[in-house]
Amino acid sequence: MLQMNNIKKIFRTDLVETHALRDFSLQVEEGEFVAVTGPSGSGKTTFLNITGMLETFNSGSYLLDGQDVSQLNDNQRSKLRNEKIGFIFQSFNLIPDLNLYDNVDVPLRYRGFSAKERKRRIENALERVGLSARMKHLPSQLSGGQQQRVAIARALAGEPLFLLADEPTGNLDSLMARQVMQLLEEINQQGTTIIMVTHDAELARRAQRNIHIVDGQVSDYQQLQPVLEVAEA
Amino acid sequence: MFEIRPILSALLRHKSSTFLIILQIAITFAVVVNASSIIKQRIEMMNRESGMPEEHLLTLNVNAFGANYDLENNIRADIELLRKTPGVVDAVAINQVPLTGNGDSGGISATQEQYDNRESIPVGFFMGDSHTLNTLGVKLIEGRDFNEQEVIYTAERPEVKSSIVTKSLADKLYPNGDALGKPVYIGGGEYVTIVGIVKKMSGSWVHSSLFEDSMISPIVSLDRFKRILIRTESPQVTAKLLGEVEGLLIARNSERVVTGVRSLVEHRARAYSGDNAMTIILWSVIILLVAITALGIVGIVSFNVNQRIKQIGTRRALGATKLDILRYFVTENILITSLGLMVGTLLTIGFNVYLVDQYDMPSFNWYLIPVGIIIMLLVGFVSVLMPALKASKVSPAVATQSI
Amino acid sequence: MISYYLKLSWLSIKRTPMLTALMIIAIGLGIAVSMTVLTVNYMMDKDPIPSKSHQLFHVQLNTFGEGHSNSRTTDGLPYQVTYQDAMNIHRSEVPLRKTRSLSTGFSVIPAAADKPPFIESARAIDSDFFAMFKVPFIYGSVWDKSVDEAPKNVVVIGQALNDRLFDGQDSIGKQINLNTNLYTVVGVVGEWQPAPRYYDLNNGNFNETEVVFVPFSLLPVHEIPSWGNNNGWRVETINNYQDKLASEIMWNQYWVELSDDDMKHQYHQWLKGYIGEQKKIGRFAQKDADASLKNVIQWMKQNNVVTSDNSILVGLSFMFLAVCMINTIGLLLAKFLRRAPEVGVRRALGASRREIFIQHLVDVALIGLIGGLLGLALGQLGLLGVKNLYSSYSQLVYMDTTLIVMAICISLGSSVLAGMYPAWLICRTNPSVYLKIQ
Ligand SMILES: Nc1ncnc2c1ncn2[C@@H]1O[C@H](COP(=O)(O)OP(=O)(O)OP(=O)(O)O)[C@@H](O)[C@H]1O
Ligand SMILES: [Mg+2]
Repeated sequence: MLQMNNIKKIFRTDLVETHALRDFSLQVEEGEFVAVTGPSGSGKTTFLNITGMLETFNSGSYLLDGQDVSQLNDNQRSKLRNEKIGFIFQSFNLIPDLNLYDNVDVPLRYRGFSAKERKRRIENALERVGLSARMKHLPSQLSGGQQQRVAIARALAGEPLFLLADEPTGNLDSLMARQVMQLLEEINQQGTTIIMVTHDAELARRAQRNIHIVDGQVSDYQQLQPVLEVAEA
Repeated sequence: MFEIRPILSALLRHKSSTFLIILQIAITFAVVVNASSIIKQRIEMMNRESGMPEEHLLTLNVNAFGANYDLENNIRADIELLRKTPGVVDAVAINQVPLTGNGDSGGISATQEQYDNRESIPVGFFMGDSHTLNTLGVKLIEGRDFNEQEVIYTAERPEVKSSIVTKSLADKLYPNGDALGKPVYIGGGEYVTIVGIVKKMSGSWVHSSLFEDSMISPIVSLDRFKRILIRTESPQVTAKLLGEVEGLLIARNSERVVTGVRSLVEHRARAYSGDNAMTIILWSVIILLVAITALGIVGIVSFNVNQRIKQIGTRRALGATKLDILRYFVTENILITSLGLMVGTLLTIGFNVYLVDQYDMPSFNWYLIPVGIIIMLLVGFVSVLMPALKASKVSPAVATQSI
Repeated sequence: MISYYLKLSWLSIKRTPMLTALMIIAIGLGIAVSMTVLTVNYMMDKDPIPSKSHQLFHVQLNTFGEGHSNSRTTDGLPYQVTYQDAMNIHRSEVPLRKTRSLSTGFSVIPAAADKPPFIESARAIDSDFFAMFKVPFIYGSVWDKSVDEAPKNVVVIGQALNDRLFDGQDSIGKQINLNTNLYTVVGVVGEWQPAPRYYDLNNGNFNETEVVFVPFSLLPVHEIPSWGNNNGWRVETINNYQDKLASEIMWNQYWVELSDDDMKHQYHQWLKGYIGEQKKIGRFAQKDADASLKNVIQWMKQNNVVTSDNSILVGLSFMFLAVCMINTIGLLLAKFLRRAPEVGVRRALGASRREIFIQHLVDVALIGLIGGLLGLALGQLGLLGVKNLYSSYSQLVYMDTTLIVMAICISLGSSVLAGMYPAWLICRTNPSVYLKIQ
């Protein structure tokens, strides 16, 4: 489904060279719910960006759904992203000038669905996040949690294989965060693969699988987990 | 096209900016179309065929002051001298010279009755000897030229019998095209017969309705102030004579002053200097105005792009290709420009109606509107391209950056 | 506080150099184009003799026969008068001053045989002319009033001619040869170049003034020809100068100075009486034949001193300025909205709406001022261009202080006006909206 081998990502600026990912390897299977944790600056977002093809990498290989991503050009990557991947951002990234309906519509437009099909999907997606009553509202008229639910609806509307979420609950209070998490779990149960970056250990634990990134590499978290559980108990 | 509705709703969220650009494009369009219409009309006027070899023509004035100056013999001697000068094709003492803005005009008509009812046709009166047509270099298409016997030298009101008219005038007098041999009433119950018709010839006043309606009579009026027209073999001879002709004439008789030695090319430039200036000014206005509007579009769109970096990144993250982003901004711009042009078309028409009404400007050609629309769309497109290209280069990774 | 605002404006200019440059260019070009056109128009339309423009009247008499009229004017009246009318109405004692006037010219024959004769334009007038049109003298003065009736070969010459013939020396009493007749110099006129040349708008509105002035009473003596227009409306046989003097041809001009409305009314009545008298001998055939007195301003208007091309250009230039201003408003809106989050913070920190409003207006005024200065500089270039295009306007196209002040006022005023709406919008918007979504 998703296979990364020895991915290397280096950011070069005037003075420093940052090795954001070094020899990063990971495999994710269909239907998994993966939580990614790690200290700040460890390369979580970079990993997610590469997964979502928002960013290219310096070396290594990345197969997405059997396709070698490094062979694709910008247009093909956009298309693949549009069809297979849904994004949820920490700061929601709704388009302030568009109402909820039009916001959810954005990726569908790029997909080239018929108007009828788009309408069905938008209404369906908004229904799923419980905001169909507020279709004509503008993002500025919603609370943060509601905005994030719209963002989720937008990600879902395209019925993607993957849902990539970068700290989706980072800007929300714990109650809201749990609601959003619940929504993601439901979505996962219906078959969508989810990769979620989070700082919230409690939310991470609710995921099926945990990956811990330290200094641009996956550290073997599986083994640490029981120890932590003991400590908390 | 695609995405029009969401673009429209985003535009509606920024009513003021959108409205301002629409208004700006509308006014620009109205000014550009009307100014081009004026330019076009002036250029057409300036390019009217004169029917004369202007580069071969020069003119001058002789102001005689001698107390016992014999007008007739001096005029004859001057003309004879000039005709014998090497490089000169012909010369004539004439009462007015085309394109100079000076001369005699009046009204004539085909019947005495029309004359009495003041239905006369305004014309320019040219008077010269039998070399007039040859010197002017105009083409006789019907009838005959004057012969030497019918030329009258006089200081008084002459009794002329024959005249030559321009085709344009002949058609106004006798719309059936049978003017040759017909009478022309010049007032006081007198008439002259049309003996010849000239194809085309410029009058003295380039802005007058009688510009192409002239009548030539075989008269040399004996005045102390006399105009002379010279036709040369080549522009080089014209240039040479411009410097020498005064000395030539004064050397023959010094009891006069020669003034206004100018080529007809110069007279043409002077006659149309106002129109020429107007076209240049209007061109400058058009170019500056379009430049300002284009810069304005560049500025606003660049601003919008900067403002929407995050949004663009998000769209890219959600699967928009570079082309999609480019298309978004171009579509947005074409939409605004089109709205502006719609309003602009109305403004253009209103503005033109006002100009026609207030300043007797001819109304513009309709094709200027579609041409103007295409040009403005192109200008809008070119202006939006730079910032839109910049927008398309926004990295999708921007979406996950926190600021 | 203002200095704080100025500092903020300067910072914001530095932060958005491209937008600011665009605005300054837009305002600058708008001002430059409109000021260039306005300068020409203003100078043309300017009252050429402010102290007397409402006392000097050009006389028109409707001598046309039944059914005739002047098709080139709105009032249909002839521009000029006949010689006989000029002579007859000159008898009126009503006007404070009065002059007959004719555009003519002479061959000036220098005394030295080696210097060639040359042509000068001239004017035949009465002695009042100089006082009426405030013509300054550097030497001598006008001829005696009696010469207006009893002709004498006297002449007033212009400075240029005095320089040419007498090296600029006092030439009073010396003689000059015009068309082989000797004239005695009685006066030399100093710097005098009204623009437009309002005392004769039939012969080049912006031509140079004449340098030879001779008594009008010399017309029949030397058969002085007209160098201006001769307008006839009926068929007349003119075989010699005497015929022309007695004809209905209109080739003279007539000006009077009337000190007030009373005098004007009185004079008009006098002219009506004259017309009545003339009707008895078959002249002034139109039933309602009348006289018209137009003052300098009205006369300039009647003669379209400001051409329709000028008026069109003024209209266009204001549309141009409008586009520049709309453009500026658009850019300002953009610039201010970018600052909206900052405004939100400022408002949260206690700035009042008024303070925000003023801060933004100061911003705009600064841009307007810079744009206005740029406009003035570009306007000079524009005027240079106009000077090249219209050689006859050269003396007209310069900006006097009034125009410079006007340019600055227009740029400041219009940019503040342009900034009003965006500034209002930004200070009115609820700051929380911007604090919520970045
Ligand atoms: N565009 C960029 N240019 C230069 N350096 C970058 C860029 N993006 C990320 N980095 C660097 O790469 C490293 C990894 O960054 P990344 O954003 O992946 O961290 P993160 O794990 O998401 O951290 P956080 O939890 O704080 O969001 C950091 O050291 C960061 O400074
Ligand atoms: Mg991160």
